[in-house]
Amino acid sequence: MLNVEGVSKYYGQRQAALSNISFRIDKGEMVFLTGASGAGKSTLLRLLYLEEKPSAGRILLDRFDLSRISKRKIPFLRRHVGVIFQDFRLIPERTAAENVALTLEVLGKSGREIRRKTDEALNLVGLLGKRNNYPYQLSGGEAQRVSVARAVVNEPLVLLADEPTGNLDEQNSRELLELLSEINMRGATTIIATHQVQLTAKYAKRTLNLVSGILEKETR
Amino acid sequence: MRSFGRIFVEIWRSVRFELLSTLGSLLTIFLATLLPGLFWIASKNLTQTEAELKSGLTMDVFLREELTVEQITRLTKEFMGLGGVTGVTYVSKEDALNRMMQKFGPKMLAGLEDENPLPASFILSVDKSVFTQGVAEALSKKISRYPEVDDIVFAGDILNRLGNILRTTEILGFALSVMVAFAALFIIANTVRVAISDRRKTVEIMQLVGATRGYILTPFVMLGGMLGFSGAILSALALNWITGYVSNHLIKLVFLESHEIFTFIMSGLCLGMVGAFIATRKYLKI
Repeated sequence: MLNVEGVSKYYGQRQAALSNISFRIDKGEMVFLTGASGAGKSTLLRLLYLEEKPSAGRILLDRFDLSRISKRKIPFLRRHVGVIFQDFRLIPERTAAENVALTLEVLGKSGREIRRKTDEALNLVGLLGKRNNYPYQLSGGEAQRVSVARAVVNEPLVLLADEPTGNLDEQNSRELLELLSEINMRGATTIIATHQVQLTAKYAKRTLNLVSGILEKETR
Repeated sequence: MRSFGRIFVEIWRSVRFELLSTLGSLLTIFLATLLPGLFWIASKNLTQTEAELKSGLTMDVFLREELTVEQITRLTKEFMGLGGVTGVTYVSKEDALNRMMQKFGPKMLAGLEDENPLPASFILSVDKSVFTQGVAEALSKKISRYPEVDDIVFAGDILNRLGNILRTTEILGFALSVMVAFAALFIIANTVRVAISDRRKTVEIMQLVGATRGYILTPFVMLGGMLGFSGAILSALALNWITGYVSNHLIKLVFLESHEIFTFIMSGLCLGMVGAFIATRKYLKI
């Protein structure tokens, strides 16, 4: 489903953020991407959601070749990738439901479908009762769950989470990982980048460990 | 319909975020469109006045003394044969006095009945060709050769000079309007730039969930269009009021026709959209 083949990313004077990374992730897998800050986890995810392009190598996601995709087609690819960030990235002037609905509005779905799917996604993350709350009226854990709902509402091919627990306390972090695990069990291929290795131990999932831009080891 | 609703909601969000700045821009655009509107109305009225004056213009040929019927017949025939002359009317000394009396009232001219100082004259109606450079002078020269003729008065020279002033005013007005339009373009672009800057985070998130460039920039372009459109409507209303006020208190003026108002407002809309589009090209890096 996701094939990363010899991918490198350089910035400036040939300083490698990623060096010759290769791995394959199958449909429905849940994978942790671990490593210290600056190891290249976020860079790798940015390549996967096309915020940047690799300097070398090839990334294949389903039928898309991400390394050769034209700028015009990027939005259409992003509709198949759900992304969660450490800082939630919710639109402050939109309610929880409106934030989730944005993903479907962009696709031009009907009002009725948007309402139905938005409520389903909010129900999945346990926040249907707060659908009309604005981000500032939500706790950190709740805001992150809204961003999860936004990422999965369109049933993406792959769900990417970049340090999703970075701004949460331990209790909320565990609850969020439970939620992501549940979403994965429903069939979504999930890649979670985190430096909090202790949180990943419970799940006994495949782990890709990055050290200074190099894929150091892979555990299953 | 849904996407229209979405665009207006997005516009409202931008406006709400920067209400004062948006109102300031609206006021500036209103003032910026007011100036070309004023020039348009002024030019329209002056052109109309000029055309009316030209169509009713005559050449007054004053005579040394009263003519006999034979002389009147002969000169009328000969003047009609001159190029540019479309009509000849003989005004006797008595007719001239009567006309003067009608114009100024009998009290002003009391006593002139006994010793009428007004000369007899021919009033020549002339066509537009007389306003061509040199034609009026040539016509005057020909007429002045007649021994019966004492003096010739032709207001066309003044009108020609007035015409030149009008053309200069029109050019100046156009140049100023273009400058003001550029200023309005800049103001709108700046307002949209601020809106983009305020909503940068929203734009990033929209990109993240797969919004196309068109989806993201349309509300910004429409915001600019709406500013230009609203500014032009306010301006048209103000121009209507100004025209009415001047007509009631100073001089009768005509306002723009409905198709001209439509063009004026649509120009505001286009100006706004172009300004906003320039801003999105420059500041919306997507």
